Amino acid sequence: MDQPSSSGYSYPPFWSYPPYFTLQPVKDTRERQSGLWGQLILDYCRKHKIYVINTGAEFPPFHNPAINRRLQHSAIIAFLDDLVSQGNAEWLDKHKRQCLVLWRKVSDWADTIYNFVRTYGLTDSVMVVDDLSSGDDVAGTDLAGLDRTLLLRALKLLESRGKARLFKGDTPEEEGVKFFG
Amino acid sequence: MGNLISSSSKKQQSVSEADRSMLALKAQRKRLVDQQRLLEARVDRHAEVARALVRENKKDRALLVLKKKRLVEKQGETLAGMVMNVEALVSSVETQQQQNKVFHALKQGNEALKQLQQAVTVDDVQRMMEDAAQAKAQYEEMSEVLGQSLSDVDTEQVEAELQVLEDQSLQQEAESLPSVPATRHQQQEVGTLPSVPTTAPQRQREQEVEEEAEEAPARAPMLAA
Repeated sequence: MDQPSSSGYSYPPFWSYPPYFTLQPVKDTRERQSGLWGQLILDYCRKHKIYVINTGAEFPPFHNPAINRRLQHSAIIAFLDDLVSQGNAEWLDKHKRQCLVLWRKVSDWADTIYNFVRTYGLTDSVMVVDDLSSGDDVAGTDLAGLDRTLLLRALKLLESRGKARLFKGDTPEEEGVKFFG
Repeated sequence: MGNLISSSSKKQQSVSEADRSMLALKAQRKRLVDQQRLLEARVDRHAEVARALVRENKKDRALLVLKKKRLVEKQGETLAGMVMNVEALVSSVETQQQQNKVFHALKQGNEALKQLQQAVTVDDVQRMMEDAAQAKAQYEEMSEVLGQSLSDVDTEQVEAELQVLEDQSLQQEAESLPSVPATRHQQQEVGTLPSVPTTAPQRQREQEVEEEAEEAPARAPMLAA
């Protein structure tokens, strides 16, 4: 996640203004600020296929070296909390160290997976769960590099819709999924 | 109606032994492929180290590293062979599964066809055609009977009357034509007709030409004036 700012990402205008890097006290301003930061976080993660933000680690959008400003930890937590309450993120742990960023909703991921399965005629065939996020079959598609937690969530959702069935093989490594047409 | 999960999706929700075997195969394949990747990375690393050692002129150590690299490469080759075998098996199992599905589909289609044929047999068709022929014969017979005359009029007499009328009309036509000569006298008249002249018309034409020539000069002087 340590990406240089010359990665080609174009930040929105507010990112160059120092005031935005300080948590605003006034309610209306704070709401607007949070909205802008929320958008930036989602967009940045979507473009770079980042699924989890580690609040203790470096994350390029939170630090603008050009204006020598950095978001405080409390601000980061606050903005992520707002994303969580909107349903666009989830805390993975109680201490808010890891945040799952849902720049695409779980149900949309479920649809993406199911469409992939339908497109390549994989219904009624058994697949290793990990082959849905890595390997030759998904290379170049949206699914490549998908976070495992998110992948399993999406698969469980498909299971509840009756479109898939997760099962284990003889060894714990063998996690399989069967899709139904 | 309020059932969100349709009954069709609950039909094939079971995971069979065959599925588990397939999972085991594919998981094995994945494990092998992951190991391959690891070995490739090791080979690359050894190559780097060897290069660096050669640059530092530590030839013996470089040789050792290259030997290690060769070992790992051979391991990779064996692994690649195993991956091929597993892939081949996965492929055959999947192909066989598809073939079975196709067989079942064809079988079902065949059954449907047989059932349809049982519903309407060749005998049925033949019987139906016979009935149709019979109905047609009946209809034709009926038309014939209906077409027959209802009164007791004597057909022969009526036909004789028709013949008389026809003869009369013929006679009237014949009278309006000129009669063909029948007596000898008439034939002789035909013989006294003058014969066709042959020379007279030529002289007549020469006279006409001379007359034209005389007229022409008479006309010319008039023009000159």
